Amino acid sequence: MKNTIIPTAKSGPDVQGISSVLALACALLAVALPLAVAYHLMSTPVETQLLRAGLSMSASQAAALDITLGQKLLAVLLGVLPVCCASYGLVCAMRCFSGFSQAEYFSLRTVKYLRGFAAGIFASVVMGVVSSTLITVVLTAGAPVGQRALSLGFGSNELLTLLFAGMVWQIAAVMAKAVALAEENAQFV
Amino acid sequence: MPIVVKLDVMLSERKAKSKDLAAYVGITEANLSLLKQGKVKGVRFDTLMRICEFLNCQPGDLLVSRPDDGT
Repeated sequence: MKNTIIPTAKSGPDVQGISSVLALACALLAVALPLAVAYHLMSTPVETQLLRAGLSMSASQAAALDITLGQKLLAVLLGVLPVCCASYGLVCAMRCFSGFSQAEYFSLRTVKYLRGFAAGIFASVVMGVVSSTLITVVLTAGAPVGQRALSLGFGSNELLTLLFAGMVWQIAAVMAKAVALAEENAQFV
Repeated sequence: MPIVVKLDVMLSERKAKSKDLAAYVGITEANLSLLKQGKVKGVRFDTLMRICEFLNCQPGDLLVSRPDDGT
């Protein structure tokens, strides 16, 4: 007897199951990321923070800056801001995937959350550029005149992430059109 | 609305029940009611064909174009 596989609507990737897993991952990341970054920044030496912000400095030079606790906390706060934007995006992604996991495919609610994700990622990149500039200003503010610095960095990573955010925003716009088409189709008998 | 649905007229002429027509076509009575009132955006060819089969009529008997009077 020959067995025949009949394709059904159930075949293909398990969209709802995968969406549930992704929603959980987004929720965990949204909470863990800002905490982990804050801890990392608190425990990172000043010269490493400056190096990440695009300013190369030796340990002896960094020690000479005489950074106060207030400056350090402000630098940590500035470092956490972009991650908070990304965290907002992840919360939106979590809500979007939660909708998908409940078979809420053609809904303006999920479109709104997908846009929120794109906006969060976009804001995270912009804030990243601004905050790394401000971190160098804050950390070198106490340095003698001539050693104060301001660095501005924008690389291919930032560009690609902005492109990604733009693409997700556009996909959300296409989904909004699909929702409108589905609503119109529902009015056909 | 320039297109008028004359389904209720055809149903009464054929002495047919909406419930039977809905069951034959395979749509809900609620949707059939909306169609009779012209409150739908469109009718699928498949639906139109089934209605015509049931009422033994032509699409032109169900849908009539009524030009706007400009008011």
